[in-house]
Amino acid sequence: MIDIAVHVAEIGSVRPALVPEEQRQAEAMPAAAARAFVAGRSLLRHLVGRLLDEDPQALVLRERAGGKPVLQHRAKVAFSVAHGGTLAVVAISRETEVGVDVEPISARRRVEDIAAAAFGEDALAALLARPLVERAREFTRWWVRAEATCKATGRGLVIPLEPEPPAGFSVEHVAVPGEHVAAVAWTGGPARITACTVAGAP
Amino acid sequence: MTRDHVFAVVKKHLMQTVDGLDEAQITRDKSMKALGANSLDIVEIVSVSMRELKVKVPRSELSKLTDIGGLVDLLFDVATQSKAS
Repeated sequence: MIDIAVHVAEIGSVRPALVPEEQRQAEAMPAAAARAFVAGRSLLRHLVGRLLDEDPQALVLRERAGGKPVLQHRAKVAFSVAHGGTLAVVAISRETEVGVDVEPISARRRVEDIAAAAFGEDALAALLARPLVERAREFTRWWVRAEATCKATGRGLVIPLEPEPPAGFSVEHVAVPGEHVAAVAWTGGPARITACTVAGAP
Repeated sequence: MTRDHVFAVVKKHLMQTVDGLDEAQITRDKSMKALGANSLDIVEIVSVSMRELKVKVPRSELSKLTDIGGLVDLLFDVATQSKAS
């Protein structure tokens, strides 16, 4: 069985561990987005560094087309990082490609407009058939599944999206704190997903 | 409709969606991601801009967008083409 570890942390609790280029990226963003980016990237560096017994800031990361971070030098580890709301999430596996996403359930989101644009009219109809109070949660569940799958493929977000993964990919929701929804996707067969909350800086 | 009007609409929705964004930071050569928008933010900004401008962009075109200028040009081009036809 494939092993996948999913680590969840509160954004404010992650000890920064960026390289200068990442610091420059963060400085160009508004404060809240910068904090989320710093937390996600730092959490990734801490966890992969610990796994490979390397200094987190010595890891050389590059982004593939589509934005997926990978290690510059081949190493038998695949990972995916996401941040949304108050959480940063990292999924890691030594056996398969992974993708992860987390989003807060937000009544502010114009989910009907997004559903129509990203998933299509049939999806919009299915969403409108739901009671109003359930739409934000249901849409967010679709979104994290779709984005986690896109990340697992390494191609980035490709619209139109599908709520269910294509053949060869699997996706499952992961329990996370607060009013958030998260999902992890992977290639291959059955997986044992271990989710843990990182308390304080890793 | 002018490109400047389309840009103004996109800017408005960008600032409504990404907390703390200053209008002066939003230039056509930047990507929304560089300004702190995540994928869901970006799709929301595009979809509500389309609704306000009464423009329907083919969904397959949405994945090709790389910067704000590209989005503005796409929305403007689709809007003017549909007016012309």
